[in-house]
Amino acid sequence: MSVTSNRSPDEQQLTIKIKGRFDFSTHQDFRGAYEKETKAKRYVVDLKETNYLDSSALGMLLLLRDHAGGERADVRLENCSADVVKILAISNFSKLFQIG
Amino acid sequence: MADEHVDVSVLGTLRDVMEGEYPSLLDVFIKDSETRVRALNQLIRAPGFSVESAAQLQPLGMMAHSFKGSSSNMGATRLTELCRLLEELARNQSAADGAVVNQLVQAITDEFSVVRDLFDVELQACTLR
Amino acid sequence: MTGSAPPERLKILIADDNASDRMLLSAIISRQGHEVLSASDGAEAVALFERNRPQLVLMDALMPVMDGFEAARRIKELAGEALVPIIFLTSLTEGEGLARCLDAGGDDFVAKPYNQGVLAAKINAMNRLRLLQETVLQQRDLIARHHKYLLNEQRVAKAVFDQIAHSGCLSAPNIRYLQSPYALFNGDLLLAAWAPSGNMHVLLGDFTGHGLPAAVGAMPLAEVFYGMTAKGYGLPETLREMNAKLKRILPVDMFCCAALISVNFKQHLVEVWNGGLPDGYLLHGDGRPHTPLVSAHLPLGVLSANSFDDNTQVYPFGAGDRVFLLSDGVVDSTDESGEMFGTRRLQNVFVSNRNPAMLIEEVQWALARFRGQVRDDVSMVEVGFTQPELLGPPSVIYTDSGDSSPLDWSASFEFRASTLKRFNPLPYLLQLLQEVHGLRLQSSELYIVLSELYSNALEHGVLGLDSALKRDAEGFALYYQQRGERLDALERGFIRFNFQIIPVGQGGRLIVEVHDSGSGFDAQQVLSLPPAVDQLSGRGLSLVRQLSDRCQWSLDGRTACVEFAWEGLAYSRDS
Repeated sequence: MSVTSNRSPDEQQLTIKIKGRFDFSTHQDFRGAYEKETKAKRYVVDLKETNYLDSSALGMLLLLRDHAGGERADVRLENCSADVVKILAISNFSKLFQIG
Repeated sequence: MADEHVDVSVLGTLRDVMEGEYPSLLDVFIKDSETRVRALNQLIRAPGFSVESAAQLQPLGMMAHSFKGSSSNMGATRLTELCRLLEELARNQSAADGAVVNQLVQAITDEFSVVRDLFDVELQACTLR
Repeated sequence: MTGSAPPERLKILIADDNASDRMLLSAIISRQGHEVLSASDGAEAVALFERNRPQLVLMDALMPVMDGFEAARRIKELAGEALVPIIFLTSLTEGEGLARCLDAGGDDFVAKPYNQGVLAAKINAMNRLRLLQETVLQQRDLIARHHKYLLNEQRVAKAVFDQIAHSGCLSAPNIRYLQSPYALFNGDLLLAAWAPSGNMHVLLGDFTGHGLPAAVGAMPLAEVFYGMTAKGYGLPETLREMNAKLKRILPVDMFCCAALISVNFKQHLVEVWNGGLPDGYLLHGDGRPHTPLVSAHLPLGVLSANSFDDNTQVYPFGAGDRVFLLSDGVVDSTDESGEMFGTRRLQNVFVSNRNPAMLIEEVQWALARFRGQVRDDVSMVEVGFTQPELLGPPSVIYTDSGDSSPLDWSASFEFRASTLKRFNPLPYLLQLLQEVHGLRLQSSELYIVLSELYSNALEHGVLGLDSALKRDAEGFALYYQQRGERLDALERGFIRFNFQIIPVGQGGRLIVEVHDSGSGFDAQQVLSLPPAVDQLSGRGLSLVRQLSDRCQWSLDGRTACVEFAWEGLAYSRDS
């Protein structure tokens, strides 16, 4: 499991990429990826290389959303596999995040 | 090297490590070894000593082993080698030959005399330094 | 990391029967900065070790009295778990001699004549190993201690929680369930309680996380569930309150996936809300295929109060029907190849089930066959339908002593459109009426009657819905959809309650009038219809007539008037 991040050239968007299982062990790295970010207005979590999300991963997404402005946050979850989409569907996270 | 009675470089190292205790070390070695040599001779001269007996060869081998160790630490090269030969002989019962054993013990006794004299000279040299 | 850093000062035991060797070795070791203990035979070595506990031992193999091998064995034994490295001093060259050293527990060898450099290197290396072992043991002990504390904390938390959890009705005859005794610490929660109306509320919850964080959220949630259900609140209000509570007290990344149902045995319907749990199922007794109860909401504790969606789904529910709820431990169980049990296998169990009483066992067997071992976070609950008379009486909880009781008063309330939209007045009105002690024994009947009159007034009166729609399942769905839409859009209308409490001898009488702003109905006509036992509508009015002492409707149907009487409480009445 690994977490990498990069900013868009105009610094308006932060993309966080997760590789491997997105679970409790990812917690610190994921948080570290966005904690110090103050400029970005949009956040993208790239889940292309993740096949598994557990409830602590859902919790981490909520923390990101909270950091990004809560109800006003613009957070997109991209490149979700069918399994990931299913997990997000049961918890209805599409009501909080744009899912692609 | 094998012909050397005492390796002087070893003595140099000993002097360095022991510092003020160097003379004491020489002295202890000499006195200790005298006891060993006496014990060796007593063992083979004891009535009923036979190289056929493993029970008797074993202490012989152990004495030789022990003496080999302390001699090597003191740089007494020939003495070390003689003790090693005796140790091996004692371990290899089938090759044990009473005559060879006696010869070796004699050689050890003689070699030790030489070493002792050399160390006495060394001791005196120390007190003069 | 280079090994040339000056070592710590160690306490080193040397054992050699050779006096000069002993002297020399002692000098070498002291020069390297260590404290030296000297022994001339094995027995002395063991004694010195026991008394002084050095960190490292340099031992000659062949010694009188007790040889090095035996001494080494004893020293290792004395050392126990700790690593005391033993370096054999030997000029034994054959393999057998070296093998004996290892057997006796030796960690390394050094040959004579002694080489200072080699000795120093080996001592350093052995010391590093020794420290490593020490660290491992310390950490192991620390972990073991913390683990014990943790287990104890969990035991206490569970004991407290069990007190709260057992105030419910999970043992009712129409409920079957499977839950591990330590479910709480997997975050699984199962609650069931009677409402004063005779409805049954059941909640299955799954908190994020494990252990105490999961358990801690469960307690306030349970308190809200039991408290509000007992007071007569419906699902929407209870859900709003539970969500608000969790949102307030839990950290952002914690939430509770939950399914909540309310079974109305008298009206043959079940109301369902599922936020984040896998699909539940409505299993039909008449052979129709099961209906999935899909998660349509975010879990509890995620959304703020004004974004929270309390909309529920309502389904017909009658004899032979069951609601089946499950936690994700069921469908997420994986076998060795990583394949999940999945919903298809689960639904196969439903389809092939012949004896309804065995359903939960059959799911367990299917899981065991699939995986070989059932996870301990598998929770399942099955709520069935029974005739209301067969269920136990709901227990009502009073907190006061009952000494003072208001006996002669009247009160009026008017609830207008914007209030009707978001507020259910019944729990408050019932609380008020329960101040009258004589009415307490009839509080179930009171609640049922008032609920009936209120929902008639709201749905048929103010919202103008046609109860004829509730003839079949599709009509049902349409009816409740229209109800939701019209309520959201409501701008005018009102419902008035008028209460009169009049003392009569030792007892008294309650007169309730409910008046709505709707267009009314022909009450006479409805009441004259035979009580349609199997129909989904029309039951309400005959129920009101059955449960109250007296009832009548105005000619235009817009006002209902019911009466309840009670006698003096000189002796208690069994009900």
